[in-house]
Amino acid sequence: MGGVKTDVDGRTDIPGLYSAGETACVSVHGGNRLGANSLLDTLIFGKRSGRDAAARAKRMELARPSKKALEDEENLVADLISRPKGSGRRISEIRLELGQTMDAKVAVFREEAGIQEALETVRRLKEEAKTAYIDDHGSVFNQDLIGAIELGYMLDNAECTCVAALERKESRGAQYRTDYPERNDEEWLKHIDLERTDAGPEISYSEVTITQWEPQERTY
Amino acid sequence: MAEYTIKVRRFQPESGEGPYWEEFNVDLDPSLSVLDGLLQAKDREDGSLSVRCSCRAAICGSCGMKINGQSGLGCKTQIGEAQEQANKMKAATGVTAAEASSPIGVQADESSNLEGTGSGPRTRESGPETSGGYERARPGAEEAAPIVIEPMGNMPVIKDLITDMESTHWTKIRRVTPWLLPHGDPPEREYVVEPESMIDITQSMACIQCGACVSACLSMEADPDFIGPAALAKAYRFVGDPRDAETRERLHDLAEDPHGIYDCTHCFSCIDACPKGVAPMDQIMRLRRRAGEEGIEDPNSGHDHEIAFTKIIEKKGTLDETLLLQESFAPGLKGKLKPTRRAIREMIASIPTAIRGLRTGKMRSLPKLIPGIHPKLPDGAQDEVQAIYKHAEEHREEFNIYIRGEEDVEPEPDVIEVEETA
Repeated sequence: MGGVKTDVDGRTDIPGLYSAGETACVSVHGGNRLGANSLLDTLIFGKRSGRDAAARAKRMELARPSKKALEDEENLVADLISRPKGSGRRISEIRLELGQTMDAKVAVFREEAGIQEALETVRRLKEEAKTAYIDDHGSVFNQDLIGAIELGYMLDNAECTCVAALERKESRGAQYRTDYPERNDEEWLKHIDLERTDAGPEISYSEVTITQWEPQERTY
Repeated sequence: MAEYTIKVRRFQPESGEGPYWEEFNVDLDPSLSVLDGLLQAKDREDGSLSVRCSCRAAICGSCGMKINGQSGLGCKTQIGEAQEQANKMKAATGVTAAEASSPIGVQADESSNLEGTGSGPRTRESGPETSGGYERARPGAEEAAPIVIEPMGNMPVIKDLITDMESTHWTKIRRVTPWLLPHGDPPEREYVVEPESMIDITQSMACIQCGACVSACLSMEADPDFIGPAALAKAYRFVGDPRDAETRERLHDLAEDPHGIYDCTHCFSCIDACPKGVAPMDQIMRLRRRAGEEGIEDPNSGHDHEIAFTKIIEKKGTLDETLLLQESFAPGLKGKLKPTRRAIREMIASIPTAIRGLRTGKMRSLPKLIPGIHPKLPDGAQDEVQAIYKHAEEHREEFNIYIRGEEDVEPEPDVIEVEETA
C-alpha cells in the first residue's frame, strides 16, 4: 500500500521528518494491507519512529525556518483569505468534484482511459484551486482556510494516486486494473516511487525486499 | 432526498456582535445525519459556518452539539429523526427549541460581549445569497418546524458550534488523575487480570470525550466547579480497575471535594445525552456506593438514607416515611436520639418541607408524622419480604439498572420463588 516512504525507523528522505501509521509506507504489507494490520504500523513503527526522533532531537539544534519561508507561508494564507468572492470556484465545489472523480474512476476498479480522465480532471482542478475563494476571512478557528490548504494536499495526493495507478499495468493487492486483471511479477514486482517536481510526480522504481514470506496468489 | 430547514445558533467572535440565529435549507436523505446537513450548508452556502468534526461515525467525539435542545452528537443523529423530534416538540409545546432556548448570557464567555439580554439570540432574516440557484423556499413545508442546532451548554462558545472544552471538560478530566496508579514495578510483560474483573468498568471505558454529558449536566449549570459527569465516569474507570492501588485515596479525594461525587442531583440528563451508553450518573452512583463502603461520610446523608430505606422495608414491608427521615439523619435510635450536629441541622431544615407536605395534602394524617406508628404488612406477609431479603443477601450481585440497549442477558424470571425459603 502506498504512503510516505520511510525506513524501519520512520525516517523519510527529508532529514528530521518522520512518518508513521496510516500516512507511512514502511513496505511491510505488500500490495494490500489486511484488516487489523494497521496495528503493526501504529504500535511497532510508531514506537520506533518516536524513539528515533527523540534521540535525533537530542543531538540537533532546533531547526529555524528562514524568514523567507515564513513570509511565503504568510503570503499564501493572506492570498487565500483575500481572494474576493467570485474570483473563481468555491473551494468546496472543487473538493466535491475531486472526491466524485476519484470515487468513480480511481477506486476499486480501474482502467487506463478512466484513470487518464481522472488525472486530467485533477490537473484542471489544481489550476482552478489557484483562484478559488473561501467565505471566512476571520482569524479565529478558520476552518474554511484550513479546508483550502488541505485541498492543495488532497490534489497532490490524488495526482500521485492517478500517476501510480496508470503506471502499474497489472493487478496486485488493492490495485485492480480491469484492462490488466493479472498479476505480473516479471515486470511489476517492484515499488513505484514518486517524487514531487514542478512538472508533477516523477516516477522511479525500487526493489522489493522479500524475507520470510514469498508473495503469493490471492485465492480467496 | 428531502428538504430540511436547520436553524443554527451562530456566533462570529470577530464581528463585534452577539450570537444570532440563522436558517439554512438543506437537501439530503433522511437517513443522513444532522452533521451532514450542517456540512452541506457550509459547503454550499457559507464556509464560515463552523463545526468541529472528524470521523462522522460516532467514534471521535468531536461533533458534540445541542439538537432541538438535546445534547448529543451531530453525526449520530439522523436528520429525518431530528425533523420528527422538532415537529413533535412544536406540536406539544407550541414553541421550537430555539424559542425555548436559554438566554445567551447563560453560556456566553464572560470575556465576550454576549452578556444575556434574556431574550435569546436575534435572528438574521436574510442569510447569505444562495449559490447555484438553490431554492430557499420550502413549498408545502409550512408545518415543519426548523431543526434547532446550538453549541453545547455549560461551555464558553468560541465560534458558532465550536466550544472551549478546556476549562469545562479537559481540566476536570485531568483533575481525577485519569491514569492507572499501580503499586510496585510494572510486570515484565502485560498485566494479567481476570476478564470478569474488568466487566464492571467497560461501560466507563466506552467514553469518547465528546462532552455531551457536560453540556446536559444540570448540576454544572448551578455549580460550574462540579467535577461533572464525564470526569467522574472517568474516575470510576480507575476506581473500579483491579490493577489500581490508590482506590481509597481516589474515593476520599472525590468524596471530600465539595464539588465531587455528592454534587450530582441524580437528574439522568447525562444518561440521556451520552451517545455511547456510558451512563455517567450511574458511574457516579457506583463511586458513592464504594465511598459508603469505605466508611466515608456522605454530606447528603445519602448512604444513611439508603440503609434506612432498606432497613424499614425489611421490618415493615412498606415505607414509614417519617421513620425514614429520622433514620436517615440519626440512624439506630430507639428513644436515644444521638444524631450528629449536622443531622440536627438538616432535620430542622426539613421542617418547612414537612409543613408544606401537610398543607398540600401529601401527608394526610397527623399520626403518620409520628415515627414508628406505620403498620407492618398483615398476615405474615412480612415474612415473605424478609425471605426476599435473605435471598438477595445470599445471591449478592451488583447490577447496573441503567444500562440500555441490547445486551446478551438472560431475561429475569417474572416470579421470584420464595416458597422454599419462607
